Amino acid sequence: MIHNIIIPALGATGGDMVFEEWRVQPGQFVKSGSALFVVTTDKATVEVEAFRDGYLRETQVSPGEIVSVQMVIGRMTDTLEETLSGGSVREAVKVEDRIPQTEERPKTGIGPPRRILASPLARRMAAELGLDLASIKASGSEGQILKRDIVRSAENTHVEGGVRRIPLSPMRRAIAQRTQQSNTEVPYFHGAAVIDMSEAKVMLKQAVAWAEKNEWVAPTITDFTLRAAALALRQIPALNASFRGEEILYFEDIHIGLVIGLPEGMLIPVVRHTDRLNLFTLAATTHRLRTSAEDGQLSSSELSGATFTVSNLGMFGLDSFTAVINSPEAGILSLGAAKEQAAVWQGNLAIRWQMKATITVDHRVVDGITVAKYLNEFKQLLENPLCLALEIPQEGIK
Amino acid sequence: MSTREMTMVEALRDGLRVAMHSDPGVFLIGEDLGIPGGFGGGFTVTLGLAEEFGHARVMDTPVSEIAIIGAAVGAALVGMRPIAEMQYGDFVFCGMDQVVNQAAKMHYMSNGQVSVPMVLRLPVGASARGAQHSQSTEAWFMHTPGLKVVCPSNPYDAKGLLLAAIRDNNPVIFLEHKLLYGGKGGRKESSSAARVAGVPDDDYEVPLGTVSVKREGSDLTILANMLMLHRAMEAAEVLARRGILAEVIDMRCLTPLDMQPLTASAQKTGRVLIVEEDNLTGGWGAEVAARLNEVAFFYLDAPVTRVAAPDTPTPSAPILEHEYVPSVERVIEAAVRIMAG
Amino acid sequence: MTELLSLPLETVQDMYRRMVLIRRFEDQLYALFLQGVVPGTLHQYQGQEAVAVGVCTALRPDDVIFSTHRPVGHFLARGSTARGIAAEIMGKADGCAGGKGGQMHLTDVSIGAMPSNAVVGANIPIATGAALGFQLRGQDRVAVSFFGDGASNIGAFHEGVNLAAVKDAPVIFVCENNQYGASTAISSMMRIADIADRAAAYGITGCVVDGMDVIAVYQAALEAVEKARRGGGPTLLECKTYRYAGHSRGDPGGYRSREEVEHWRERDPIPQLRTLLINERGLSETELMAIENTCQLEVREAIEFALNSPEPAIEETYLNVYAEDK
Repeated sequence: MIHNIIIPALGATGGDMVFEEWRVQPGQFVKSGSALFVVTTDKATVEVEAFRDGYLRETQVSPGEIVSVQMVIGRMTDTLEETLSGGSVREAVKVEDRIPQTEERPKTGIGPPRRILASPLARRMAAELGLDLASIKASGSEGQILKRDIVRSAENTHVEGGVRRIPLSPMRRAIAQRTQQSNTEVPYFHGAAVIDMSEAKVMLKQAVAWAEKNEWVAPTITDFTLRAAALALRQIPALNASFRGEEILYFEDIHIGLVIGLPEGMLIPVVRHTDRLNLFTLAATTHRLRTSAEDGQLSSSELSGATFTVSNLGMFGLDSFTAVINSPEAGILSLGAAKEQAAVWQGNLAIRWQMKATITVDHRVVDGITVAKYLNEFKQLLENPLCLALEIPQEGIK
Repeated sequence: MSTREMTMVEALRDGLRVAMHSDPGVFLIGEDLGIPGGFGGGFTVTLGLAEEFGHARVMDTPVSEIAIIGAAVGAALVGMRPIAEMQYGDFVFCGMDQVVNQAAKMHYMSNGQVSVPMVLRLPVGASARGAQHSQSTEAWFMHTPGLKVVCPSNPYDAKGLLLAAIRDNNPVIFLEHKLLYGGKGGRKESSSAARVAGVPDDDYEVPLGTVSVKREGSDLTILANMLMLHRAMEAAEVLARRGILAEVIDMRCLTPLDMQPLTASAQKTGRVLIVEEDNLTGGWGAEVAARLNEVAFFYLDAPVTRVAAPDTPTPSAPILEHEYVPSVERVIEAAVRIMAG
Repeated sequence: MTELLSLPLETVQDMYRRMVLIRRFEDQLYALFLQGVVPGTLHQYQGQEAVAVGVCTALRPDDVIFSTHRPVGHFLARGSTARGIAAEIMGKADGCAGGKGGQMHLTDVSIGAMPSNAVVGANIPIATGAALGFQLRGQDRVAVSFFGDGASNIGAFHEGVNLAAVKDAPVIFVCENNQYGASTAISSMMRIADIADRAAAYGITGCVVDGMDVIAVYQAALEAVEKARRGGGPTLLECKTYRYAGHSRGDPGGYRSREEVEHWRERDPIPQLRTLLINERGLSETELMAIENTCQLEVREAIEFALNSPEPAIEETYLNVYAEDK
């Protein structure tokens, strides 16, 4: 007969237990009453005994895995000769055994590659949360993933001691890889400037009123800064570049990535030909990209091809910060919040709206003078915001 | 309007009385219903009614299930509202043609020219009387289009559903569990639940085609009827102490079946346990499980599971009958297993 | 003879008309069946017309009849329209039951014809129940149950007749003994010669009647009906008759001898009455032929109507399973 080995109730007051080790090898005989495996609860480390004589045949957990009461962690048989045909010993209808053994699915480690078994609810929840079923540990007695496994995976299970263990989601993994690579490889150089945004704010108000009157998407400060960043890049194209080992690539077109913060991390959709879009078009574009990002609807083409990046954490009230370059771009502009400050303006002390801008550049591509020029251009544009609205001279017209 | 404590027998009797007062077309037909000095039907439900309404309207018949049911059909066809009683629900099979081929089909075959507004009362359930006096017969009738099937679990529902059934223009199969009668005096079932409840003594109806949530919960939905409803409620109490919050729904009407509360509950808990006293295969639970699979599949965290009597006739010895009828322990066990996953 | 003379002329003419109508209708339908136009099968009434017409003439409009799988004769005798019956048999929307019942389940409540029953003998206790309903209401209406010799052996017969007897229910049990239950001769399936003898076992009146003589049937039926109306209880009326066709239309009748069939053909109820009408009531050939032509036209028109009637809407499948609440 096949017997499931389950985690008994060990008097733990709550939360998961960690499986430490097997005291017997598969194929070995274990006597009733002798140690079979070890588990750590919130209270203590416990040695669990075998409840019957038998042979350990199959293990379903390894050291370090989280287990819970009633969970099936392995199987043993009365004799070594019997085969493990799969499935748990379930109490079927008493009159006949309605489920023939041969039809039951093989468990881990036996037979062809396993299908992932999951309850319909668990599948749906996983899909909604963007979780990969393959990365989720199943606690069902037939090896199926249940709602509790999804919940545990998504929402953190509480192990006492204040430690929360969250597996990496695909987004988080991507961010981790990118920033780590950037940090290790790129020699940084920072520059900062304080920009007077009072004029820009006035113009923004007018632009918003105009947009609302025409039922267009209303522009934001971010849209202003994006346009300024793009126009400045046009003037200082040395920053619109990328280091590639033996050469530097200078891009003719300007595509600026805009950092969008999300609950689970961030995405950086790209505004293509940022410099060619007027303010209202830019406003509509960034609005669309932001919405798509929040709905998880961005396509991969919308997430690639940036030549420069702008990050505006200022909308969350941060004074200033220094973002990590989005490798292999040569620069990233970090914008703080526009706040009312006491400042000297045209020779007098006044209350002005001020914003701190920090630029991080790849020193292999760009040096200090370029940085200064760029920041200056950027600042001039925002402090004379009419220039943002004006177009550059059109070509071909005499 | 006032409320009295009544057993189910008293509630049913009161329902019959109210119906017969309110409509001269209502009459009773069956064996031993109104015999002076007799028992008032199989289980004292009709006791005293012949004295009140006369022996014409409380009509005693020979041992003739075909004729009892057939006569009810005929009387209903000409505009009466007969209430026929089988002394034991198991005897309905003697007259099955009249139920399934006649009562159920006349409205349809005549394209609505006639209808059969009758009620057929069936005492059901295992009660130490052996295989031919113990069946739960709901599935046969749930399977037959044209019939309505009602199976109350408590005195309040019993009277209200009976009045609704009498006033309904269709043939209604009305199942009464012997162990829930709680009859006082005369024939009291030795192991009966003898439940009393406050029942209004006036005319009220509980609408047909409804189920009733008897206990709310978030972990597990338990669907049960008649005696099993009480077992489910007991089990729910025990489960609650173990941290499992069960929602218990009384399946008091199987046809028409109101799927909406069942679906909502399944969506809420993700786990459904059906508890029925009829045999597992082709029982009413199988039908409900199939429907839930169709409408709530993507909300289920566990398969819809049934606890039912095994596929055997009912054994007679008490120890064997105890094994046969689902117990509170079996319900708890099944619930715990479902929760374990 | 004297009975015939005592009846109003319109009554006997109408009896003749209805018997002819039934015969022509059934013959026409058979012709259509051979052309493959009729779905399912037919259970035909030729030869038994005197029973249906004789009994139904004795009834009031507010009485009810319960017929069988062989219902055409009863329905036409009671006054249902040939069109409605033809369309129903063809499964058309204008059938008396909208195509939902078919040949064996005709219903026409406008003339007190309850759904006819394809389960042999099942209508016996149902008719008893209808009669009990009248009794409870204090009405003097009666119920009639038609059934065949074969049905007299089924349990429902015993229970239904016994219950009616015990309660003095105003029901007339009309047993059309056409000598055969499907292919089985009744003589081989009971030890007695007359089914009416069984009445004694229930303590009710039983009576044997020549089922080929419409006047005799009428007389016997009238007596039974009046007795029932008076509260005198049920009667078992056995009408000895014969069906000229097979049990159903697929049946060539190989279990009956030609001599036997011939013997009963000679006693055909329609020519019998025809002769009597000429000899005893002074009707002319012309008058009789006029009646016959009217029937022929009516039948032809009914078939025409049925063939042109539309089929039921598909949704009808799902309708009228349950009666609505009022």
